[in-house]
Amino acid sequence: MTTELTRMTAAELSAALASRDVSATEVTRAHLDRIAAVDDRVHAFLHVAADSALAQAGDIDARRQAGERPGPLAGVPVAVKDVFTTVGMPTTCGSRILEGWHPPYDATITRRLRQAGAVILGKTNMDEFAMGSSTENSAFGPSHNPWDLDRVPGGSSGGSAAAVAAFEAPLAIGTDTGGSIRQPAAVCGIVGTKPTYGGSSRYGVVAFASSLDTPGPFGRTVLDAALLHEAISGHDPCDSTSIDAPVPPVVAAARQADVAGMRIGVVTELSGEGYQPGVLSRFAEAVELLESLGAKVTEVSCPHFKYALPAYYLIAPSECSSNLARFDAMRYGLRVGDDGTRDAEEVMALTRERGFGAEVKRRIILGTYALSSGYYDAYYGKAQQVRTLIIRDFDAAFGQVDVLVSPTTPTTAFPIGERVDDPMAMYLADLCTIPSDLAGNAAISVPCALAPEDGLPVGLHVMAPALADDRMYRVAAAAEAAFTARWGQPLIAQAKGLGS
Amino acid sequence: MPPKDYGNGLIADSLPPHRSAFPPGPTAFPPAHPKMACMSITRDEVAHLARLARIALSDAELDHLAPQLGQIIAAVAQVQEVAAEGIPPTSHATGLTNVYRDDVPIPCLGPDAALDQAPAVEEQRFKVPRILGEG
Repeated sequence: MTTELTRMTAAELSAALASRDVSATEVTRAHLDRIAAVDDRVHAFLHVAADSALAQAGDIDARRQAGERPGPLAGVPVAVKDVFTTVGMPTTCGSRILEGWHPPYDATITRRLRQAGAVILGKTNMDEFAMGSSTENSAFGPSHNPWDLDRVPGGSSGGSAAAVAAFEAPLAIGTDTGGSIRQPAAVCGIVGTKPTYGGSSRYGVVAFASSLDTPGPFGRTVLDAALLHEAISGHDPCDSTSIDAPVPPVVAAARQADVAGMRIGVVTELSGEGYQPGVLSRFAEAVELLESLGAKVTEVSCPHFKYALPAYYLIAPSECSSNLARFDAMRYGLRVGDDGTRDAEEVMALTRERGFGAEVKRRIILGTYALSSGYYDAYYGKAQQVRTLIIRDFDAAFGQVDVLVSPTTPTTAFPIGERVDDPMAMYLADLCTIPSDLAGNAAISVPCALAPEDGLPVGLHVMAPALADDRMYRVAAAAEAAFTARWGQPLIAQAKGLGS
Repeated sequence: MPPKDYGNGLIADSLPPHRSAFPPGPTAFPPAHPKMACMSITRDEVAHLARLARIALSDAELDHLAPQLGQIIAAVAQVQEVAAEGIPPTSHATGLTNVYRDDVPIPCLGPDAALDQAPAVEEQRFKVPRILGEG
């Protein structure tokens, strides 16, 4: 029974909990047991909150016993990326500079999860301050891909993706700045969504690049991702970039799962050299599948997408160099060298030297450079213009088609250690996902098969206009249903990194 | 143009002016031969930037970081290929400006909660290392 509970989807758990076939306490215990059994190998979690999870589950059970009917996620466990502030749990962002920090307030998304009755199992591993594509930049060691423990689970939300793929949690929350939800979802063979920028609150999300950071859901099915998407979304007055508009009907779209008559554009520029052959062949099969389901497929050119990656690696570091100035050793976090002889600036510099890892330092210095007077126009200014051109490419494309598709990542999961000291190679992992972040649009990754050459998952990437998140859920759900019918089981059932 | 002093000790114009001819070298992303990419930033410049960013880099880190940053800068400079005359910049995608909430008092953190995670506290205040140059 315990194993069965961890294999169930969030939607199935929700139904079983509502009918009181199982209790939230049983469901929570099953997942805590699974974490205890496998997380020494996966290392998805930086902190497991067993006591508070069981207390939350007990509370949900008591409410149901008293005749209350809490919402659909009540009693369903969720893992939360360690970049969201959580009262009663540490929040480290994968960094030594925040080791042991206990935030004094909940992020809006943490609060909404608690209000929905979702049981927070703990905090998941991540690349330090969400900078990276493998979790290897975590100060606390990498997470491991449940398909092959010697490979990365992607990043930066790699711990969240690995937790869901390893059946340690049915749902998880991550953040996507350049692909940090969709890329790990793709390489772990699960579903991950970047909602429309401003559709999910950044309040209490430790900032990396504020104009890009977007919280979003992971699940093993499209419907599960939609259920979590809906639960965390909506206007938040605490976030001045939050959009005051109705949440797109993503759950209804995931249930509709129908692409008949939809116009789907294949992006010419997100293909070709640098892409793994098996990724391209599986992607082509997915496009054929969508066509066979009644979609009208055309090829669409977005000529400025080739400048998205360089523009991103100016904009994101520029914003990070400003945002991470707050880690100054004065009010919270690590303080190094305060022996009475050094002044505040020396203490700051020593603390930041000791507290930040290599990638964070690289990006802070790159951003400081790009924002320097004399370089600003040539780098940051130019990148902002490229951002406009990318938005125009999307606008033109969405004038012709309803959604755009591409592979989610150029390659499948790469071996741990392979790119760790080659930042340029690491950055390429986000080649396909960055344009949607720069434009503030929505996008989703859904498993579309295993690459023939290495047997590792490939993601289908579906991009939608801002506030049309529901469209991509329709497409992803239709593809998922057709693929699952073809395979006879969900793709994730084939993940063998942890044994059967 | 005199250097702009932001009042925090950081002098924005203390870097050399932008060089008109971008350093030769691969501009494809990634460069075709990353190890051969020309340095577009010197070790001294990286040391200076690290000081501005308040990071006390070691010599070994400087040796490692400077060529890596050189490669990255050579690659991101590709944005300069784009003919962007008359293209407005985008700083964020929502187009929202001047978002206000009603001026209604709401509860905030008390002093104990605010100071709870401080590295050092004295008399209900954050205790910090000296900030002025005296003794």
